[in-house]
Amino acid sequence: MSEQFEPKIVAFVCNWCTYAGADLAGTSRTKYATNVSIIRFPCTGRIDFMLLMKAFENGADGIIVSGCHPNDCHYTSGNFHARRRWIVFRSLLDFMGFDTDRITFSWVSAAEGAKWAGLVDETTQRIREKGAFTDFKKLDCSTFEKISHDAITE
Amino acid sequence: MARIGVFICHCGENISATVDVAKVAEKAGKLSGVAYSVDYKYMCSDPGQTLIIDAIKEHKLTGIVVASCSPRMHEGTFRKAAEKAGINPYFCEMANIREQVSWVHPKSDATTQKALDIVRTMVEKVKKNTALTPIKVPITKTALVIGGGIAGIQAALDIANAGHSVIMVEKKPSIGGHMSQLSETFPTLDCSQCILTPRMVEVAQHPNITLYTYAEVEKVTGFVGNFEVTIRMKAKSVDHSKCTGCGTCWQKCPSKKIPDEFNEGMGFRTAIYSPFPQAVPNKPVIDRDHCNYFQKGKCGVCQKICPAGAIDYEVQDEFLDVKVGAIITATGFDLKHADFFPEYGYGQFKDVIDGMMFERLASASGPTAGEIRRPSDGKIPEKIVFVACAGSRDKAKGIEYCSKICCMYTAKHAMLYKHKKHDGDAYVFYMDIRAAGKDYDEFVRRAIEEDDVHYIRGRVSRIYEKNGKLIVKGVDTLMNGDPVEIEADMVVLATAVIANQDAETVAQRMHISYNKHHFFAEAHPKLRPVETNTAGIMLAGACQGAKDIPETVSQASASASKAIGLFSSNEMTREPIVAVVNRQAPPNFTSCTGCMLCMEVCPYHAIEREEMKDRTGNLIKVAVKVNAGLCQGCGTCVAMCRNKSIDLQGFSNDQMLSEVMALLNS
Amino acid sequence: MTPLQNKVAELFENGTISLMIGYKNAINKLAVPCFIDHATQVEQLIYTPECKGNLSVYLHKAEIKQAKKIGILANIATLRSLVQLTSENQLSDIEKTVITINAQNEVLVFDNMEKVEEYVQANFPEYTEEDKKLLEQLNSMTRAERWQYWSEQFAACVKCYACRAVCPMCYCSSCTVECNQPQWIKVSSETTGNLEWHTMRAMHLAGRCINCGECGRICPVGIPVHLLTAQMNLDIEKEFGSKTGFSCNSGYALNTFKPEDKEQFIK
Repeated sequence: MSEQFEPKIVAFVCNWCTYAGADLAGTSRTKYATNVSIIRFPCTGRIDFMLLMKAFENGADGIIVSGCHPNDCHYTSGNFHARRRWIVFRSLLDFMGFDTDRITFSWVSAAEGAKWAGLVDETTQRIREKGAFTDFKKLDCSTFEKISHDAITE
Repeated sequence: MARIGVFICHCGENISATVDVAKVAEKAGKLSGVAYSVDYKYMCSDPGQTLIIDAIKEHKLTGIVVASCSPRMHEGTFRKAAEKAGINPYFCEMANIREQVSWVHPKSDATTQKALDIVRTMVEKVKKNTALTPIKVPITKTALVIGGGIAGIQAALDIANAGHSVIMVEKKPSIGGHMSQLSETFPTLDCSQCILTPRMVEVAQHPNITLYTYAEVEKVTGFVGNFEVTIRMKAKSVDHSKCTGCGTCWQKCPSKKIPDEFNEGMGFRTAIYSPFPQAVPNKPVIDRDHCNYFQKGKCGVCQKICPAGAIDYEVQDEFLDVKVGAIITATGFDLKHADFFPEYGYGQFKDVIDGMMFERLASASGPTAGEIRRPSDGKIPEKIVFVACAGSRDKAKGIEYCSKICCMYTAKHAMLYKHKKHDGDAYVFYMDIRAAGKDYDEFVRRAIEEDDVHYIRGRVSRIYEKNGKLIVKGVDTLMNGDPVEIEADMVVLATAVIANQDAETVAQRMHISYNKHHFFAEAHPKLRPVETNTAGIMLAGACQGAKDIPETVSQASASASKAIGLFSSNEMTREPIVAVVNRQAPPNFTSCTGCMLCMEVCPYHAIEREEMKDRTGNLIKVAVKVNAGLCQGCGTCVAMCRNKSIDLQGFSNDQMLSEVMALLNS
Repeated sequence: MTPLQNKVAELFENGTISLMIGYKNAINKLAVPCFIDHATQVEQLIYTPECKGNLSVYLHKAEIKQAKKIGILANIATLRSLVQLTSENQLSDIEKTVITINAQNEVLVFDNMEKVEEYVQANFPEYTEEDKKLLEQLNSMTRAERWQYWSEQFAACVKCYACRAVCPMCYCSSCTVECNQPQWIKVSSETTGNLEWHTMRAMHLAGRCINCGECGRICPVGIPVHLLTAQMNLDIEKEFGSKTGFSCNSGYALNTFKPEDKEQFIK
């Protein structure tokens, strides 16, 4: 493969801090990788873990989840609730053997345009090294074949 | 069938320099459901908006996606344009291809592709949008002012003078607060009561202000424009409608040895009392904890002698429910008291006093009639040491913050002393002098240069008594840390300003935030300094943090203007980005199972219990509902709800999932 | 008559209960739920180590709720689910009498949830040795091995939703899998959808599951689904210190927070 792999990465971000931070990266003309596209939520508290699952199912190779720093939430506590949710969700994924390194969790404030750009580049590079996310696709073919094969031979 | 219009903006060359806008417009035009797609130099310009409006009308568009700058920039602009064209403004979405595409990526196919991906995502979102109507909430044009100090007085007068009703609640028997205790005020040295009492009288006599003294806020429910407040009217034991304030009762009351709070314990009052001669209302209450009748069951002198027959021993606390549209919290502050400074002998030596006690000694209406006499033996001190930062800015004491007013009042105290005792010596130990107000530094310079107050930069380590003198040991850091020892007759500690003891309870009752020192939290430290996180509740004065009088009055007027602004219309319009609980036909009513686990996550207490009943009133189902007046639209409850019974308008499950699918499936 | 049968007969006779949910014998020495509405039927009632089913699941059924005065025979897991359900406001409309049999074989009757809570807290169960062993095995695997393990397990899932039906905490009248606007999870049984279903189920039960293990026991294809929530509960207790089915007033780790909650992974 001569061409380098370009991962698809979805970013789930809150409107008030990270989205504004990403806007700031724009107004400061900070350059970063094109691989990440943002989906805007009012708050990290709004981000449903099922959306992350759906993103992977639909071909995302990596995910960024980012919102306001602790104590800076526009809605006072949405990010605190989100943090607990991610602690639990991440440990569930890990227990199921899912590669949690494909999800970057971060706090990026409205003033941290440079941090956002760095986060995008760093995540893109990490996912690029990991290669395409195929676990779900494999699930749909190989595992099922194996099981049905086992079932037949029994 | 959706007919979506896509409008790609060049933003001059801001977008078109790196994104192939024509290609994006062309490809977007082929997306399913897109009826019209065009690119244009400046979408936000008048011709650009006209282009959008005409296109909506001509192509009968049901929704639009404007691919241009950040929605944080122009969402409002394009929503208005959509509305002008006759479609619901919430059928307009923006694809941010400037801040998040053209400005951060070089000119390339990948950049153009990303712009198209974002356009496609927003097209799928807008297809799932629903018509939303701004929420209208009626406003009760009455303000509640909690606290009758100078902050509360100023706010109440401002609101009342603007023509709105005000209810003022003060927990003490009189309004006036700490300012009524002060002698003279910096930096002009005008008498505190002379400037304050006319305001107090104005409050009492104002036709728009209802004053409840000896009362406390018990409970606050509701939301901006529509608060319901329960006020506890503590039993005064005196019927103020009959009482004329003649004063016979407190002259005859046999319990005369009760430390007088108004004079900081340096005098006595009776059990039936009015706290000070200029009190408003100047009518007494009975302090039941110290009254012989209530404690021992016998006495009743005041009842026998009251010419108006106003004394009522049977009366109980009463509760009053009021409806208000805005609340101004002006509950004030407290000072650190005794036992906090064992090393300074406070509480142990009678002549080590705090700043407020000094105010009372210097006040013409105080226990010494304005002569500065030390509490132990009534002698006029020859030498006074003032200690600034007693407790403040002291991590070891747990108070890292600056109390802000002490530098100024300490200079004032030293000056007042020097003005009254010309040959006396005044020493001030200080860490830094923070005199950043208008005419403040000049004031401190005057104390040092004209009134010859000795300023020593350094901290006091210890104070002890020796031969009737208070030995103050400290260092002078400007003299290489040389030890300093002063034999003083009196020591005044500028103790730290702290939050009221019940501040935490008050905050919890109001559902407002507070910091670790229990000072109430403003919504934004810089840009929203007088509002709280709870819409409709404002802050005034030192309950938010240490403040001097000018600052307090400014903040009070600011919060009053917030209330007046709110009251300027009959109803309030809010963005309809709120959570809703789904509705189904009976007998289900809703898929909500009433686990109520979402109630706790809501930062705004917007989720309420709802009971579904049949025609005969039998309870069929318990679920939750969202109070749209309180909901701010964070959506934390939505992600919490296991079976998706709550959804967020504008960021619904359907919309968000469509976005994810569209972004990844080209 | 056993002491249990005597006690239940007494409760029927003095009008304390009008319906009793308990266990009776079935073929192969199995115990199955039984519902009796008269003192004359109490002789069916048994309480043996085979009585594993979590009977509190029936308290969500409309036809059971109609009985108003319900007696329920509860093993320790069922007691925990009653406590958890109370904290989730699900039992407020039911007048219930809870009967359990302690380690000394005494029949205990609780007429209010405070007493149940007290008993649960004093007799809080640990995981079974078998579950502990399985969790340990899974945790000692590499991530890829775990993925392989669960992939194979989930591939066998036929989406019969028995795990949901048997779970006392899955009381939603309509489940997310039945939401079709949008359709979160595919209805048919296919591997990615199966994984999503089990992920979602585990997330919805994390911090609420009371570790009765019924979902794993009931699974017709033998997927140990209960291990997912069992592991989540361990993690939640370690991270946030909260236990499930422990207090009637609170206890859900995911609807509260502490500003000082710790994590290492957020950059």
